Amino acid sequence: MPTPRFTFHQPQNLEQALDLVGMYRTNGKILAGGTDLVPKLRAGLMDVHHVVSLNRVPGLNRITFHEDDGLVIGAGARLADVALNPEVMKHYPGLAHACSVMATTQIRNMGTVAGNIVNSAPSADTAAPLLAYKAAVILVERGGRRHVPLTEFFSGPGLNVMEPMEIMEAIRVPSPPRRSGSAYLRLSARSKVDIAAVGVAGFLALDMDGVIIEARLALAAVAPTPLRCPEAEAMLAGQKPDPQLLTRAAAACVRACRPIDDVRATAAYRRKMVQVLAGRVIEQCYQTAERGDA
Amino acid sequence: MPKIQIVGRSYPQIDGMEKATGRTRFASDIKLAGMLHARVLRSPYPHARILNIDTSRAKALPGVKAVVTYADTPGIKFGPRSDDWTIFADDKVRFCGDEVAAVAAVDEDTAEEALELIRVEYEELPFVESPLEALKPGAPLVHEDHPGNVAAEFKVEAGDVDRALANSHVVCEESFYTNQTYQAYLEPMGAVADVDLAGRITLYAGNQIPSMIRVPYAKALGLTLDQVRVVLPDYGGGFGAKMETNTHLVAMLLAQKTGRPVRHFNTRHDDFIAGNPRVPMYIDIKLGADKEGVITGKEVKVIGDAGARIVYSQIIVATACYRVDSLYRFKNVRAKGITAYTNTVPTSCFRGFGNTQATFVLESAMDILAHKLGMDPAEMRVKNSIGPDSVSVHGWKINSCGLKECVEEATKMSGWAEKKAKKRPLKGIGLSCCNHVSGNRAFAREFDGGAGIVRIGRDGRISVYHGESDMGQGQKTVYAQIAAETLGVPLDWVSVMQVDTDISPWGFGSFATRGTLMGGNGVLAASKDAFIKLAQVAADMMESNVDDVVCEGGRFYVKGSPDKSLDFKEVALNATDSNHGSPVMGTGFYDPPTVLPDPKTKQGNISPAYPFGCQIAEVEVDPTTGKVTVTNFVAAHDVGRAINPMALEGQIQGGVAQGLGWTLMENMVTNKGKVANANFLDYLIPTALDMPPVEPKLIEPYEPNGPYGAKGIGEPAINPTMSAITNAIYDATGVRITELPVSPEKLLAEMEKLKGSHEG
Ligand SMILES: Cc1cc2nc3c(=O)[nH]c(=O)nc-3n(C[C@H](O)[C@H](O)[C@H](O)COP(=O)(O)OP(=O)(O)OC[C@H]3O[C@@H](n4cnc5c(N)ncnc54)[C@H](O)[C@@H]3O)c2cc1C
Repeated sequence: MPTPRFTFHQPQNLEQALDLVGMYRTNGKILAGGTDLVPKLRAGLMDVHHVVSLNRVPGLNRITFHEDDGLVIGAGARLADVALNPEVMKHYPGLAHACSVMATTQIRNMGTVAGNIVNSAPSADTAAPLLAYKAAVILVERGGRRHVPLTEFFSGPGLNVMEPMEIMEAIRVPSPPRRSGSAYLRLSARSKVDIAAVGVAGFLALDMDGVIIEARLALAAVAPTPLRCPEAEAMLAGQKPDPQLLTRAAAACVRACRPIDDVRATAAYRRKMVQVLAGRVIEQCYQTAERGDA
Repeated sequence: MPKIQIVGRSYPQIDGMEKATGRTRFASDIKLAGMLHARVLRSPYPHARILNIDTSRAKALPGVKAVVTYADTPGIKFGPRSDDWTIFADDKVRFCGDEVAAVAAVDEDTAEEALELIRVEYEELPFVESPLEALKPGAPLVHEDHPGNVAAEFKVEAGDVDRALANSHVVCEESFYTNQTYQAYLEPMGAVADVDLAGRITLYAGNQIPSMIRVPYAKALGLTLDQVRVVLPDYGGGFGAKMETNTHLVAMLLAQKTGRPVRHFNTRHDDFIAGNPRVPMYIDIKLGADKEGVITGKEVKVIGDAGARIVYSQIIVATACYRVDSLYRFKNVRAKGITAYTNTVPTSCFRGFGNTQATFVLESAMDILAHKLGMDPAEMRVKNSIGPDSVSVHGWKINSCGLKECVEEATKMSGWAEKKAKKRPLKGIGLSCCNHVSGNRAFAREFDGGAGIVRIGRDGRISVYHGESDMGQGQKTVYAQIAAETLGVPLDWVSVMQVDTDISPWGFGSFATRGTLMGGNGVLAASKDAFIKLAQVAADMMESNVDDVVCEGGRFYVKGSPDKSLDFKEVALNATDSNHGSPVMGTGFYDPPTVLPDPKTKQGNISPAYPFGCQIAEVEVDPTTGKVTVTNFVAAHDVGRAINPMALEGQIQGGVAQGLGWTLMENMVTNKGKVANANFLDYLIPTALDMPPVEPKLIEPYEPNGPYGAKGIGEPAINPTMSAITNAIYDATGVRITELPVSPEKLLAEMEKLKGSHEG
């Protein structure tokens, strides 16, 4: 495979970036950290003549949190910055964990959460926790801006609802209620530095009696896209968890997934591990929620 | 003699700083003026007939200087230990990755582009992936002249195995499988080839056998041996893989065609699919013991997968059949090995050379027997341990042997007895021993040994020439220590020179854990020769007898009067001046007392010395996911006298890391004849984060055949690791692992089966 040749653009603001993206919508690609894009270019997987870097666009790397508005992760924010952000660690521990265990130190220093989402791999580590946190993405194009809930974003392996002229500007995550807890657990063949074979994220909000008001569970690497588990969530809502309920809810998660066999694990093992991890995630969410300080 | 000062002390690698700071120029950094870049077109099919190759469009691409196929080669069949190689596929391709054509162009991109313009018409043929399938009647033939796909057979027998097994108190009968793994060195295989006007080729190639590699290469190109010169640059690791490869021949052939230097390095992908991964083996074992735990007899059957051509697989299978028989006091053994061709990547040497596979099997079986007998597995090892000054069942002469001490130290360091007594759920501890060689007479057939040249310049600088190969394991440092010690000078006065077959002695190279013992003895002999020559000059200068002259810290003096001394450099100057510029040259060689095994009985003595070891692993198993975490590791190794303890410890830690990777994650997956995980995203090797603390311990009996009493460590460092971990997994879960690697999935399934059988 000959080294790919392309023109590299470094717009200085979002308007310029949008112009370039509009201009090269048929043969251009956006570059954030480049940790997905560059290996794909080198492997000859795409025909790209223009690469538009977002790295000179000011303000894109912001990470802000307000009690009322929740969290905004700018499209330029690096995985490592999100992992170590005190507000993210406090209010969104599942996301902080995902950003701190995925990939490698070097990749986390370059890669972005937005890139992870736009890349839309079934195994994208930030996708499951963001789904569980009910995140939405902000997509902009010349003369327009739209909010898309993450549940409506993914459409297949590597596929999503974005238009070629659109840029993801940021990811918005609502503020979690007081008595709530969340977690993300992943499993891979190598304990560190490996793509997840299974990822499970959870979020639980409790009332003062410890009854679950709202439950959200999400899975990665076990279906063509990261996905939520409505059946399991409905089972948990209005209940106090007991071991039986945990088992049943985890089994409902297993029913939600559609895994495949690959070099990392067989579909059968993935199903089993969804059962194990989902049980653990729900338990962990419940325990932190009960402490009530989140 | 002055006391030993430099040998036995820990030194960082003498070239370590250069490497750590990025100054070393590795093989792939070499750039020659006018150099062209080569790329190889590889077969996309595991087995297919080549109907036609059209290279015309590729040749027409601007920047392309040559396109070659089989038709451009002399068409000579060759091979390191066979004649089943051709430089490019002749009438058919035999594995996915087989070389079909190559391009030399002004840059790599142009060469890559040209590959896409080569049109090859194939007729796909049925193929075989597994050696078991390949040996079945009617299986597709990989090589038409090898009926039944049998590449080689090996048989060995001593004593009366049937009677021994029949009269045993306990017998373990079990089938094992060891999978295919990739050596995963930092720098892929490759070379730069340069041809002079007389047609003489210089090959700059990182490889383990710079002298030997010339023989098959000269044959393949229809040249005489003297027309192939090899220069050995620093290179990024080998672990056994970097021996003969068509990767080098492609560069040589293209250099011949173009008259320009040609660089060809595998991409990582090509290195995965067409390198030399480990020989997968099916091994059946029967091992018996009496009531006291004394081994009665052993029988093994080995089926090894050669892949599509033989590199060294048949010798590796033979090694798996019987090398491990010198670990214990065996009396009755029988083994049969078959090496089978398949339509997969050719397999070859990988640290351990078949003895790793055999050690995994024997040491698992020993564990099984110990449990059957209710005996401490450590005690059973000690009870059967071969001793120093003994002769093994195949006639191998064991001089030094610290096996018992290795077991004693490793058990002490790991708290074995307490941990065995206080069993904790899902936590386990496992032990495994190993033996190995320091050289392999069965491999180096014409003669065996090592040689050196030591040159002392007018400036007193000492240059050591050898014919072995430092791929990062620390050989240069050991040779510098031996030379400095023998000459009585500081370590940094010594340079260890790049191997250049026009200058260096003929060496067999780095394999069989032979570098320190064989090459080291060669350097020692040459250093002694140089010392005598220089000491004579010093003696003349001091008006004394040469036998009374010693050198210490770079100063010559007469025994007993160290205050009246002469500077080594002054003596060197004097010596060169009085010889009108000729430097002091010491040469020497080592002729080891090895015996080529008898072709029939296999009785012989393949190595001048035999290293031993004992490793203990501790694991924790997650019962819900099946995930194994190795929590602690100790490794006691009999290395003879340590020349550089720091380097030995590094080798031990590296061996354990590589063995841990093999046990828990490393696996080349072949799917429909293609390697399915030919990249480091999908082929997992352990990272620093996966490693437990590894505590090495050196056991140092003096080895009379070793330089300064030393043996070797490279391969023994990995031999026992797999079974140490799997025996610990058994201790933790009751699951006996008979197939590598142990994926969480596999272990979980086995644990569930076990639970089911207990409940049911
Ligand atoms: C060694 C290695 C290990 C890895 N391990 C993991 C892992 O464990 N888990 C995991 O989930 N991923 C892993 N990855 C994948 C990758 O690192 C992550 O997906 C990362 O988050 C991608 O972010 P990026 O900024 O580098 O994306 P880029 O490569 O820059 O972009 C990815 C895609 O998104 C598009 N894009 C990026 N930003 C925007 C935007 N603002 N608007 C519109 N389009 C945009 C790009 O055009 C491209 O198509 C690994 C990658 C490597 C190389």
